[in-house]
Amino acid sequence: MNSSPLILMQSISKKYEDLWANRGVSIEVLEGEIHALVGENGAGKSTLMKILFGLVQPNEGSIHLNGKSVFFSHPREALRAGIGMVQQQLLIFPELTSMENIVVGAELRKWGLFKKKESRQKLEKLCRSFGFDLPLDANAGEISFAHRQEIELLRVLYRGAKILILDEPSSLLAPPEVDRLLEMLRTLRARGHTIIFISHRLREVFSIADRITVLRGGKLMGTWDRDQTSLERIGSLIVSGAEIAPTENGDNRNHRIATRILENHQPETPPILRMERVTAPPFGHEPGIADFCLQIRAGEIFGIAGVVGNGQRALALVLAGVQAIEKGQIWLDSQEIADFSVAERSRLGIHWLPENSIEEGALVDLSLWENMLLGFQRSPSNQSSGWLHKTRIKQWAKEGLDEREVVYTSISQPLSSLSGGNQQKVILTRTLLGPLKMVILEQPCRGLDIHAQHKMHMRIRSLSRTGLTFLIFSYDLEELLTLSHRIGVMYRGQLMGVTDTHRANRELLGKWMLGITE
Amino acid sequence: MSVAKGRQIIREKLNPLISMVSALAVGILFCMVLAFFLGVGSFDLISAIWNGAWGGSNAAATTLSKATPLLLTGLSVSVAYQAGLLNIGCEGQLTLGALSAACFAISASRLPELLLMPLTVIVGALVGGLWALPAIWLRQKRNIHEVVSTLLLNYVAIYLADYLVRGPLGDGSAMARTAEIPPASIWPVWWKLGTLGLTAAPLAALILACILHIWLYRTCWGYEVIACKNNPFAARSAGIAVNRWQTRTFLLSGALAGLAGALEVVAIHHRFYAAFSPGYGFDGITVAFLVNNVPGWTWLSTILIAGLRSADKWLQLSLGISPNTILVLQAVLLIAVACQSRLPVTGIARWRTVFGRLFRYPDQPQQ
Repeated sequence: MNSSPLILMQSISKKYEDLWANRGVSIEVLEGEIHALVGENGAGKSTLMKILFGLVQPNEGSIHLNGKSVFFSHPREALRAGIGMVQQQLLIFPELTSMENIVVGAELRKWGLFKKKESRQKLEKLCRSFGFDLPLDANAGEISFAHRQEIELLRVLYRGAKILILDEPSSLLAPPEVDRLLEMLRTLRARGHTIIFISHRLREVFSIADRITVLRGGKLMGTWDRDQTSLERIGSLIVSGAEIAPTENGDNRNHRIATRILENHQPETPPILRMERVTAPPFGHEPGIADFCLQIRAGEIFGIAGVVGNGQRALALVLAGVQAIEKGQIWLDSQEIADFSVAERSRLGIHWLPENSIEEGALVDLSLWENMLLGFQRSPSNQSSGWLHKTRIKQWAKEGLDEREVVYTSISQPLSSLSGGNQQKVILTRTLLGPLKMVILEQPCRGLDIHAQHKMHMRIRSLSRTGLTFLIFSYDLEELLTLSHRIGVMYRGQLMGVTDTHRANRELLGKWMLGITE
Repeated sequence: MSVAKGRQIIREKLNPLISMVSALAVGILFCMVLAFFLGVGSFDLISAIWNGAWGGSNAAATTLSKATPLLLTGLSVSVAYQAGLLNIGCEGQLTLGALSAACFAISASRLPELLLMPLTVIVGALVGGLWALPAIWLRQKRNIHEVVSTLLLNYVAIYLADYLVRGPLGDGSAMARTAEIPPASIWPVWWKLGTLGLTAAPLAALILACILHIWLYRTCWGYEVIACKNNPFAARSAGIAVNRWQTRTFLLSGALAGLAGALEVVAIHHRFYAAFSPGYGFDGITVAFLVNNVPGWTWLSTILIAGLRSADKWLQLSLGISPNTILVLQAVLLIAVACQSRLPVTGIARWRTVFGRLFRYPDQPQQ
C-alpha cells in the first residue's frame, strides 16, 4: 500500500437551498480498505457519497482520484473511473430477472443485439468468484431482500467498479443476512476492492471497518483507525446533544428501557384486537397473509418485526381496512370488524399511518388544513349539511399543528412547500387526532434523525400509558427492542412467534426472521 | 413574512387568471409571427380577430351564443379533471344530448309548456350522462383508460346520430335533420342584441359554473372529489369511496356536455341536424385547461375561445386568410398553458428550472 490516498475529497461543501448538507468536509480513502462513514440521519453522509459518485455536484471542493484531480458531472463518468454506488433505496425492476437487472444498461451487444449467453457467462464467473448464490433466472420482484441487495452489488461489480460505495446496506436485513453481507465485503476487500460503507450501526462498523470517519451536521468530526478508538467514543461524537448519552451500542439502553416498560406494564389486560385465521391476498409485489392469528392487549405496544416483504404490508392494510380479507375474523373488543370499511374503523378508533406516509397519506398539492381534514371531512364539527366551516377547520388544524411544533407560515400554504420531515409530522399529527383506541404505525421512524426518533418514541410511550394500543411495524429490530412490550416476527405471511421484549433473545428473533424454527 | 405569504396565497388563487393572461401574451406574440408569414400586417390580424369577436352587436351576440356550449363543455372537462379523470368525449355526449332533447321535445309536444321546457333540457343532460357511463364503467371494472374509451365513443355517437337523423328520426326531407321542435319548448329571446338576440342560456350556464365552483370548493363532497384526484390511495385509506365519487363526477361531466347540446337545440337551432357540433366538445378541453380546470374561472377562457371561434369567418372575409388559422392559434394558447403548469416555480427560478431540467442530471433530494 503506498502512502498517497486512493481518493482524496478536499473541503467539499454542498448547500441545499439554505441548508448546508456538507461544509468543508475532507476525507481520504486508502486503497484496499473498508472505510466506514458514520453519523446521524441528515449528517451529510449520503450527500458526500453522492458527490463522489457524481449524482450531486458540490458547491465547493475538489476530488482527487489516484492523485489526479477529477470532476464527475454524471454517475456514468464515475463508473468509468471505477467507482460504483449502491443506493439506500434499492433500484430494482421487479418484472425483470435478476440477470437482466444486473446487466441492464451495460449489456454485451453485437450489432445492437443483446448477447445473452456471453453476458450470462460473464455474470456466472463473477458470482462464483465472489461466492454469490443469486438465482439468476428468478424475477427480481420475487426474490428475498438480501438477494436484491446482491443484485445491486453485482450490478456495480459487473461494470468493473473497484471502489464500492454502499449506503446503509444493512438497514433492511435480518441479523444473519447482515453477517453474510459483512463476510462478502471482507472477501471483496481481500480481492483488492476499496469499500466505503455508510452505516449508523456502530457494532457492524466496528466489526468490519479499517478506518472510521464521523460526520455531524454536515461537518467532519474526524477520521480514526478502528484500533485506536472505541465504540463509546465514536458514539458520543455522532450525537451532538448530551441528552442522549452514547447509546449506539444499543444493548445497555435497550435493557434499561425494557425494564422500565416492564414496570409500567400490566400483562393482565384483556386483548383489544384479535385476529383469527385471517387470510388476505397479496398487495402488489408484497405477499399476503395466510391463516394469521394475533392477539394484542389493550394499552400495549406491539412490534412486528421481519425482513422486508414478508406480509407486513398486507397485515397493516387488512387492519386498516384498505385490503379486504378472504377468510377469517377480526375482533375489536367484542365487535367483529372484518367487514367494516376504513371510515367505520376510523370511527371506532383505529387509525393508521402508512409506510410511505407522504405518498400514501398526503394530498401534497393541497393546503395544510385540507390535509388535516382528510378523514374528518364528514365529522359534525367540520360541516353542516355538506357545507364546510372553513374558518373553524382552519383554526382546528392550526391548533393541532402548533401543538406538535410543525414549522409552517400559513395554514393555507400547500403541503409540498414544507420540508419532508414537517410533511411527515403533519400526517402523523392527523393520524393521532380524534378518539383513538388503536394506532397502526408502519415504519414510524423512517427518515427521522436520532433526535426526532427519540421524541417519537417518547410520544408513543406516553400515549400508550394513557391506554392507547400501538401496533408498530419496523424493519429495524433494534428499534422494536427499544420501544415495544412484545414483538412478533413475520415470515412469509405468517407469525413465526411472539415474545416479550424483556425476555427477547436476539438470536432467536434473527432465526425467526429467516423462517428457521427449532 | 406573513404579508409575503398572504400574497403568495392570493397569487395561488389567481393562478388561473395569470396562466390565461400569460398564454394570451404568448398567443399575441405568435399572432405577430404568423401575420408575417401570412403576409398581412400583424396589427391587422389582431384587430380582425377583435372585430370578428366583439366588433359590433352582431359579433358580440354570436360570441355570446357560442359561449354557452363552450362554457358547459369546459365545465364538463374541468369537473371530471378535478376528480382525476379526463373526459374528452364531450363531443359525443353533446351530440347525443342534443339529438335526444330535440326528439323528446318533438314527441312530447303535448306536455304543458311549464313541464316541456325544463324536461327537454333534463333529457338532454341525462342522455349525455348515460353516454359517459360505458366509459367510466370500463375504467372501473376493466381498467381501460377513459381517454381511449371516451375518444372512441365520440365517433360512435356522432355517426349514430348521423344515421338516426337520416333515417328513423329525420323529418323526411332531403336534409339530414329532425323536425323543428315545438315553440313551447323553445327558449325565448331574452336580450335583444344585434339581429339575433340572446336567450337566457348563457346566463344559465354561468350560474351553473358558480354552483359547481361552490360545490367543489366549499362542500365536503367537493373536498372528497378533489382528494380523489390528488391522492386516490390516501383518499381511499381515509374512508372516501373513490370509485363511487369518480363515477358520479364522470356522469355529472357527461350530463354537463349533454346539457350543452340540449341548450344548443332549445336556444339556437331549434332542431337537430347531422354534424351538429362544430367541435364544441374538443374546444371544451381547451377552455378547461386554459384556466387550470378551475370551474369558477371557466367563463374567462370561454369568452376568449368563443371570441376566437366567432372571429374565424371574419378572418376570411376581411383578410382573406383561412379560418383554420384560429385553430393554430388556439393550439398555441393551450401549449403555452401546458408549459406553465409543468413548472411549479415562478420568476427567474422558472427559467433556471427549464434549463436545469433540459440539460442537467437532476439533483437528488437530500436524505
